[in-house]
Amino acid sequence: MNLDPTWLAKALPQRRVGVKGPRAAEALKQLGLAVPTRPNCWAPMLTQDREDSWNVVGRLGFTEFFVEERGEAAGVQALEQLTAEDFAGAYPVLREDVGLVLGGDRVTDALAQVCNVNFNALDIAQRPIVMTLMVGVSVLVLPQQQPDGAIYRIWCDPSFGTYLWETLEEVVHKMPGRNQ
Amino acid sequence: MMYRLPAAAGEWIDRWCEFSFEFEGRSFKGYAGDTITSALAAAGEMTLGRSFKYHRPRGIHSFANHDANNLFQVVSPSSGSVPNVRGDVTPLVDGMRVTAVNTVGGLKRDRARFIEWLAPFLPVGFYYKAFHGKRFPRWERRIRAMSGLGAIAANAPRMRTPKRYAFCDVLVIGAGPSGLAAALSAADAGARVLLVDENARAGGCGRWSGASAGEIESIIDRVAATPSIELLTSTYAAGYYADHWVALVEPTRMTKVRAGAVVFATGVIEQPAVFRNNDLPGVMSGSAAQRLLHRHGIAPGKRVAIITANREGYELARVLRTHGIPVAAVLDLRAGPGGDSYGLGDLRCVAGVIPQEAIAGRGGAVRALRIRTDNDGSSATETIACDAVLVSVGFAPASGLLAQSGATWQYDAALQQHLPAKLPPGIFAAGRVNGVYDYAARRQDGRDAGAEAAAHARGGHEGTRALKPESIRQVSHPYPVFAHPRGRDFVDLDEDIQVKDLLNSAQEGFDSAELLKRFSTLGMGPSQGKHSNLHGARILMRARDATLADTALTTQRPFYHPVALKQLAGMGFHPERRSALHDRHAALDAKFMTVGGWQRPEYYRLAGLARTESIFEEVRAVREGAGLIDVSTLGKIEISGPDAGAFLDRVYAGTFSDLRVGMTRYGLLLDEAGIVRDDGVIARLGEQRYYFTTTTGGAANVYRELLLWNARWRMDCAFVNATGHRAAFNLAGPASREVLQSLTDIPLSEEAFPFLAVREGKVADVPARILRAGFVSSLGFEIHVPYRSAGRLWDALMARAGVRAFGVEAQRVLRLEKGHAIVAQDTDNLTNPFEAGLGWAVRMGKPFFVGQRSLRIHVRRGARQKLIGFELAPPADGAPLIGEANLLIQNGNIAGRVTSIAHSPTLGRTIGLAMASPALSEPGSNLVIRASDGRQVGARVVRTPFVGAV
Repeated sequence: MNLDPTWLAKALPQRRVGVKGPRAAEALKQLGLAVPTRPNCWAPMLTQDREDSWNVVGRLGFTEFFVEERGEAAGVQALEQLTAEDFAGAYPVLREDVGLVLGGDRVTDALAQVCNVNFNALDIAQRPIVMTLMVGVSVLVLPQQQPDGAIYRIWCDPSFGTYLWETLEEVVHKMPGRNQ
Repeated sequence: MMYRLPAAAGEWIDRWCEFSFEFEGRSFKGYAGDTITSALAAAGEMTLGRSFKYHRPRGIHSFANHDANNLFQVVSPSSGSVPNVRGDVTPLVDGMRVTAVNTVGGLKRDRARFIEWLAPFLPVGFYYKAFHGKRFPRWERRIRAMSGLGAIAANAPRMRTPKRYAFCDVLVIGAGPSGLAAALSAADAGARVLLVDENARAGGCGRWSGASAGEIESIIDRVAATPSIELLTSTYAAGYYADHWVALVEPTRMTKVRAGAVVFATGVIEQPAVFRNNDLPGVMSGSAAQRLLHRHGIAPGKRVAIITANREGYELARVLRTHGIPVAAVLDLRAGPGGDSYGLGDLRCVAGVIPQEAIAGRGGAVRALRIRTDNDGSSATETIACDAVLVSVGFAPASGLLAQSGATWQYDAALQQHLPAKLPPGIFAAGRVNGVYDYAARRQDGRDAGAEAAAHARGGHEGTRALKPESIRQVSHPYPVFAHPRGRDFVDLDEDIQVKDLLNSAQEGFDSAELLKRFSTLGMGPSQGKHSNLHGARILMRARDATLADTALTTQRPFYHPVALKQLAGMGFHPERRSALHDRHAALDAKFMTVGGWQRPEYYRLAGLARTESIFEEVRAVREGAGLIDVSTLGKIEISGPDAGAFLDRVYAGTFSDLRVGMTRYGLLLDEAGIVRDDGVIARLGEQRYYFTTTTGGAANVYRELLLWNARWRMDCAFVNATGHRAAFNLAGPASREVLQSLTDIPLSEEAFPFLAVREGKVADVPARILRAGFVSSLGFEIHVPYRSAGRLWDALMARAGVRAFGVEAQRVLRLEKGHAIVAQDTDNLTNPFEAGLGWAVRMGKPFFVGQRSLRIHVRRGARQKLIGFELAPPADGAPLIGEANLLIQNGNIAGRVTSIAHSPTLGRTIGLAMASPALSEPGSNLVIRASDGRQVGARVVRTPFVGAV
C-alpha cells in the first residue's frame, strides 16, 4: 500500500485496440464485448462471467471505442481480427498508448496542476472517461474507485510518454506531504 | 522600533519572534508578521523610496499594496536579487537585504534628485515633442537608463512555480466584513465557496470600521469552521476573464479558478487630497494609519494632523487618542463636521479648511502643515507642527476587477462615488464597492450578495441586485484638489503628475479621460491609477466645465496588481515527443535537435570526425550502400470508408480514387488560397482503406483540417491519426533491397515491388507496411510498424552488414541532391504548386478540390516566382558563406531568396534551391547572391535533380 498522498505508477503492459466507425458498436456487440451506452464513459469487460475493472471498453464519443485487456486478451484479439477482415463500417485503430496511473488521497490536487478538468466533480460511479489535455498532451483519463481510494488511469500517445511521465513525476514529487 | 506601540489584541505581529534585516546597508529589527514597509515604519524610517520622474523622497501613502514608491530590491539566498518587491505586503524575512529602487547612489544621497531642478524643462508630454526623429533611439536609451524601477538580475535563478486549476460555486473576492458575510451566506445556501483576500489575514477594515471588539475574529473563526469555505489569504485576484474565470495569485502559486458566480467585495481605495507637497514622507491616507496601528502596532507619527471630509477621519482621531498618539488637529474640508466629531471632547477640530502646503523637515519628511481657513467671510492661515498628516477625504471603488467582468458604472453625485450600474449575470457586488459604508449595512449587503450568488450558481437566479439607498451616506469630498501656484501638488504619485500637467494636457486638446491618460501617463504607473484616476477625471471635468457623470472611466484590464513573470511562466510545460528509438539513437551518440516538437537525431557523432564530416559519412553510406533513418516523426493518417477515395480527391490536389490498391501517389495539400500547405505519400491499402503521410510539423494541423472538412461535407469515411502509434524508418541506398529482403518474405524485386508500390507483411517478424519511396535515393523503402515493435526491427536492420544510421542533416543533403523541395522550407505562405515546380501533382481537371478556384486565378496571372536549382561557382579561399534566406540580386533589386543550400559530398560542390524571379529560372542563367556579410557571390541555375539514379 502506497502511503504517499499522491503517487504515480506506470501501468502494467496490457493489450489495447481501438475501433472506429458507424458500426463500431455493432462490432463490439457481435463479439459479446461490453458496449458503454453513453459517450465518454467506460464499461468493464466480463472475465469468467465477472466484471473486471482492469479490462475496460471506453466509449470515446459516439463512434469510437478503446479496449484494453490484460492476460490473454481474447477480446482484443477477436476485435483486431474482426476489424482486419473488413467489417464494413468498423475500422481498426492501432493503440500503442503509454499507460500511467495516478492515485493517493491528494491525487486531485496533483491533477489540478496539470489539467483544467474538474475531476472532483466527476461521479466515478457513473464510469466517466475524459478526453482532455494534460500538460499540453492529449490524454484519456479513466477514474476508477479502488479499495484504497480513487485512481486515475491515464493513456497518451506513446511519443509523449517520457515527457508526460517525467512531468507528472515532478509535479507529484513536489506535492506537499510526499515522502522524499 | 521607536514607533512601535504596546502589544494589542488582534495585531498581526509575533513579538516573540524578532527578525534582523538590512535596509540601504543599515541594520534594522522587525517582527514575524511585519511586512518590509511596516518594519521600516516601526523603526521611524519615513523615507522609503524615490519618485519615478523627479526622484523626490517618498514614504508610505496607502500601505495597501498600491504604493509605487514602496517597491524594493530584495536579496535573499533562495531567490537571489528580486526587483520591485512590494513592501506593503511582502512579509519580512530574517536576514533580508533590502534597498530602495530608482536611486543613483542610494536613497538618502540619490544623485538623480537634481532632475527635479530641471522640472520646468520637463513639462507634460515633453518626450513626445522633444525626442522624435532620428535621434529618438539615443534619447530612448538615455531615458530608459535614468528612469525605471528595480534592476533585473541577469543571473537570477529560474523559479518554477506551480499553477493549478480550481473550481467553486461562488468565488468571493475580498474578506472584509461584506466578503466574510457573503461567503458564510453562500455556504449556508449549500454552495462551495472560495474566499480570497490579498492581505495576510482576513477581516479587511472591519476592525476599525464599526465591528465590536472580537467580532471580526469570531466571524473568521466561523468561516474557518465551515468546511465548504476555502479561505486563501495573501492571494489577490489578478484578472477576470470570460465565464467567471479568475486568475488568483498566491505567493508561490497561481490558481485559475472557474466559479459559478463571483461576489466582488473588493472595497474601496482611499484617495489622497491634492495640495502642495502632498507627497512628502509622513503624508499618508487615514486607512494607512489604521493598518499600521491595528495590524502592526505602529504609530503613524508622534504628533499628527488629520485632514478629513468624512466620519472616518474623526474615527481615526478617536483611535489615535486611544493609543495615546497626540492629534494636533482634525482639519475638516467641509463647512462643518455635523455629528462626526461627537465625543472627541477637547480635540481641536477646524472646519472649512483649505490645505496650503506640507512643509518638509531636514530629512525630507513632513514637519508641518500650512492651512487656510475660510469661515464666515474671514480668511486665516496657520502652520501646524506635525510629523504626520493623515488624509481621509474620500474613496474610489476598487473597481478594476469588477469592470473587467463587464460591469458598467455610473457616477452617483449624492455619494460622490462611481457605483455599479449594471452587473453581468453571475456577478455580484457587496459592501463599500457597492456604495454601502456602515458596518451593519455592509454585512447585510454581503449576506444578500452571497445568497444570490449561491442561487445563481445553482441556476436559480439571473437578476441583478438593486442598491439600497438608505444604506448610502456621503463619505467622499467632491473636489479635494487644492492646486498651488508653485505646483508640487501631485495627482499621480507613480508618475509625478501635478495638477498643471493635467490642465496643460486638456488645454492641448487631450480632453477625454483616455486621451489625457495617454498624453500625461496618468494612471500608467504600477498602481494603474488607483489613487489618481478619479482625481484626474475630476480635474479634467472641471477644466471642461463638466461633471464626472459626463465622462467614461478608462478601460480596466488585467492585471489588477503586477504579477511576477515566474508566476505567469509557471512550471513551463513544453511537450516533447520522442520516437520509439530515442534510446537507440542516444546509444549511437546522436546529436539531437528539435523538429516539429520531436527530438530527432541531427547526426550521429563519429569518433575523430567533425560534425560536417560525420554528416558526409552518412550521406556516403546512403549513396554507396544502405542508410537507415528514423522517420517516425512523419504524420501518419488512415482514412477508411466508402467515400475515402472521393474525400481524398476533394482534399488533395491530385486524384486518389483511381489509385490502384497496392500503389502510392504523391499528395499535395493546398489551402483555399491555392497555397501549398503540406505534402506526403498516399497509399491505397484496400478498396476503402488509405494510409498516408504528412510532414513532421504538419501532422496535427492536417488531421484537424481533414476533420473540419468532413464535418462540412459529411462523407462516409473515418479518420485515424496514427502518427505517434506507428514508427517508421527509411531504408535507402543501392543495397537497401538486398538488406530488406534478408528480413522479409515479401518479394522486393523491381517487378514484384515497383517504384511507388506499397505492401503489407512481416519484416523480422514485425507486422509492417512498406512503401517504395525515392525521397533521398532512387532505391529506398519506407517501413511503418507499430510503435512498440520498432526497436526490434531497427535492431534487425542495423545488424545487417553495411547499414548505417543517418540523421536529419544527411537527409537534407540527400534530398537536395535529388532536387526534392521541402514544404515550408522551400515554399512559404505565398507559394502555389506551380511556382514550387509541383504542378505535376495537381489535377486541375477534377470537379473540385480545396484551393482549385484560387489556383485557376494563379494560373491566369502566371507565376511570380519559381523554385530553381543552382550551384555555386567554385569557391575561392575566404569566399563568404551563403546561407538559407540570403537574397538573389538582379540589377540591384531583390530577385529571390535561397531556400536550401548544402555542400554535396556526392558532387563535390555546393548546390541549392532558390525561389527566384521567373526571368532567372532558365538553366544556365547566372545569379548573384548576397551573402550575410554583404559580399556578392556568383551562382548558376541548373536543372534538378542534381544527381541522377543513385
